[in-house]
Amino acid sequence: MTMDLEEMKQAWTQLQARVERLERIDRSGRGGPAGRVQDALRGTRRQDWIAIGGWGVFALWVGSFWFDHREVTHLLIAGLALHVYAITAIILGSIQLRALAAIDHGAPIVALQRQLAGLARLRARCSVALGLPWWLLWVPCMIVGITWLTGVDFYDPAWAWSSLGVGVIGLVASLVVARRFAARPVRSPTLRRMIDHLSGRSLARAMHELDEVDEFTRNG
Amino acid sequence: MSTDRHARFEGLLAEHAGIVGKIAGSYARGLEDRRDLQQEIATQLWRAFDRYDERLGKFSTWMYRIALNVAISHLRRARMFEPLADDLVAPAVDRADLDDRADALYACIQAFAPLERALILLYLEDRSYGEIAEVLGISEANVATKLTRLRSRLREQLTGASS
Repeated sequence: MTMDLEEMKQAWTQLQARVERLERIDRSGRGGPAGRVQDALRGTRRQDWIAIGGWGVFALWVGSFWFDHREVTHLLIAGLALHVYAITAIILGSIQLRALAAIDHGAPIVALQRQLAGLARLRARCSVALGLPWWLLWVPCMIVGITWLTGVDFYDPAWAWSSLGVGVIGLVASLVVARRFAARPVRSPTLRRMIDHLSGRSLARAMHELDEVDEFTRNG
Repeated sequence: MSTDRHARFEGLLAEHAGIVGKIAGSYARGLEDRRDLQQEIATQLWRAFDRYDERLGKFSTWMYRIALNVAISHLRRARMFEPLADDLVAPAVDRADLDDRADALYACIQAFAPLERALILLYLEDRSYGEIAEVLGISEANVATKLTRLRSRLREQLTGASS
């Protein structure tokens, strides 16, 4: 079969009939899009704000914690570490939310694709910046949490330092393991995302997409 | 959003459903995926409809932008470079020559990168260079240059596929 460009266009135009047939099949037994659309809209907004709101509440609580225990050095340091983390999470979350809000799906394709690749790069960096510290932050989290729940200061320097040491090993190991698994197929989408962020694949992909858009925009 | 606006949106969506269907068929890989993509496109159209101003341009131009943007993002997210939608390519009711040509066309379009695919799709939709440039956000001269190259690639692929 050979086809010139005019025949190609003709075939494409007549595809309309096939698409419409499929549309009719699809529409039977299905409702209009509006209900789901509104649900999706509400869901996205809610998720974004809940995350920032949650960290805001946590920052207030942990702020009051270290202020109340400011005479005890290790409780002050543990509280401050968590407070700094929570504020960082709020700032990074707000930056992402702002970037999301700036996205206009009605923008020309190259402009939007560039924005989306930029957002993906931002998300990849934020995920690593907010995820990796938990290898160490669980130690101040335990100190603050147990003190707040029981009123007993269980801090033991030997335990704290050895736990931080384990955290450092875990942090390095997670980076090494992620790089090892980066090219392997992983079924779980969450695990896949985690591996991609840690191995730097998400960032590399975002950079590649930005290059692709730049290349497309270039004349000639 | 008012009921009138909602009804107007549904009307325009039904009127241009073919655009959504063809774009979804070009970027999705199976029946379920095509449905998901169509739903995603409809969602995004509805979400952006508040900002649509008919004085600034045709509904179809605005719709192409959004639908193609969603489709490209969908493709990138899923890394779907496997064979195209079986349902759109295979189940021909009237198994005529047209279907073979359409199948060959879909298969060739699949080989293009996401942005190039958008360009070739708009060309096949018989959009003017001006409108293509407006949808893509590149100059008309760039559209012309790229299309010359893409058309010859498409022609080569179709010839290759037929031999």
